[in-house]
Amino acid sequence: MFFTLFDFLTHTKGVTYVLVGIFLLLFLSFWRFLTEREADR
Amino acid sequence: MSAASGNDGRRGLFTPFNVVAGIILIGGAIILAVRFTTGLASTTNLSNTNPWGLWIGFDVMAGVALAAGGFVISSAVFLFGMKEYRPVVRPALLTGFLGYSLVVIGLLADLGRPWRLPFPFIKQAGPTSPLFEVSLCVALYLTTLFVETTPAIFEWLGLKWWRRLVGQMTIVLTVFGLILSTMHQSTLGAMYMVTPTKLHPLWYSSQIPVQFFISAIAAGIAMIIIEGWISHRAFHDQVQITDDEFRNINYGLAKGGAVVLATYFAVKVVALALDNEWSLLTTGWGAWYLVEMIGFVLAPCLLFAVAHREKNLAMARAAAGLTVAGVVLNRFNVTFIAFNWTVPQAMRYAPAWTEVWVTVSLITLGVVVFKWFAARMPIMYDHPDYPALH
Repeated sequence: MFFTLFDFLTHTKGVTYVLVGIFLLLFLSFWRFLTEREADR
Repeated sequence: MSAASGNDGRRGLFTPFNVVAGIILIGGAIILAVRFTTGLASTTNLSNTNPWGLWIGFDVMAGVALAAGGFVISSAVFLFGMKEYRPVVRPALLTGFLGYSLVVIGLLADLGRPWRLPFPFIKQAGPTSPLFEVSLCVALYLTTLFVETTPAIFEWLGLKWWRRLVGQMTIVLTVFGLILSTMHQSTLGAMYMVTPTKLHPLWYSSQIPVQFFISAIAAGIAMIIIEGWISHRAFHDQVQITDDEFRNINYGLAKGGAVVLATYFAVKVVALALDNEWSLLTTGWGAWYLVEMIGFVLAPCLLFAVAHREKNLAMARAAAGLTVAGVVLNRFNVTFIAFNWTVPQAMRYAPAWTEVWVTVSLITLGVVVFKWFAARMPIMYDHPDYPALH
């Protein structure tokens, strides 16, 4: 439950920062999966 | 002309493709004649509640996104130096030019007063309006695409001086096209930022301009793969590159598609987090949203990645098909499915068969004109008289 806009923004921004961090880490793995066989050729 | 050659000519004209295309185009022309003589109400299910339907959702919103291959591939080749993709530049630019031309035709059909199409430039004082920006950018970009298509026309006509002149403008035109596309692809999404009470919260977002731009890049890459697949089958006798080169182009595009779709997926999820809309995912609309996100964004993203990794051309084409369907579905959702989601079911919009027919007619017209160009002009191959200019 959010009582003020500040509460809402603190919550959503916090979740967003965590999510972006997770996506950046996932993207590194994704990039490795995508390109790891390119070096073989 | 002998009787035999006359029969051959008729047989050449009445091919199964031409007959089916002819029936579709004649039907579309009749419907458009009715629309322009009796108004929108007689040929569409549009209303004051639902003023934007299939013609805006597909012909304009999806059409512009699907025509993005031109600026994507010309920027990659001429600005970022990815010369290996040069064989697909001309087909992509021609597809883009025809796509934008069909957008304008679809828009003319949809506008209540089509003769007011130039009003944004000559009468309306609305330079801060997203619609003004879209109008200006689409008009300028259509012109840019036309000029970018003219090298093939000049080579066909043998106009060497003009061909050289346009060739010298390549970088300027590419930069111009990239800027204009970045602006109007995102602004098509920005138009929906004034609809927070009408568009379902799962699709409404302050990030929607970014979402439209990124998804248009994915649609453009996917369209290059599909268009290359079809045109290489239809014009295989004109193609100069080897099968291996063609496959490698597709694997490279699949890699680009995977990265762009992964970025798009992340941006969409971040938008959910920023608006704290997680609870809506458990509703019926949430299920429909997840169909779009998982079935038409995440699935083609992974398919593209595996296709690039495993060098699987069929998988790349399947992923491209899913991506195109996904972008069309997204534009449909934003334009009329998740739009006006609170109105009673009886007032919801569903396209009339005449609207569907006109849309199919426009797609058919695009294919017919592309075929006409590619059969005559150096679209799929380099003209031997202009080796230094390619």
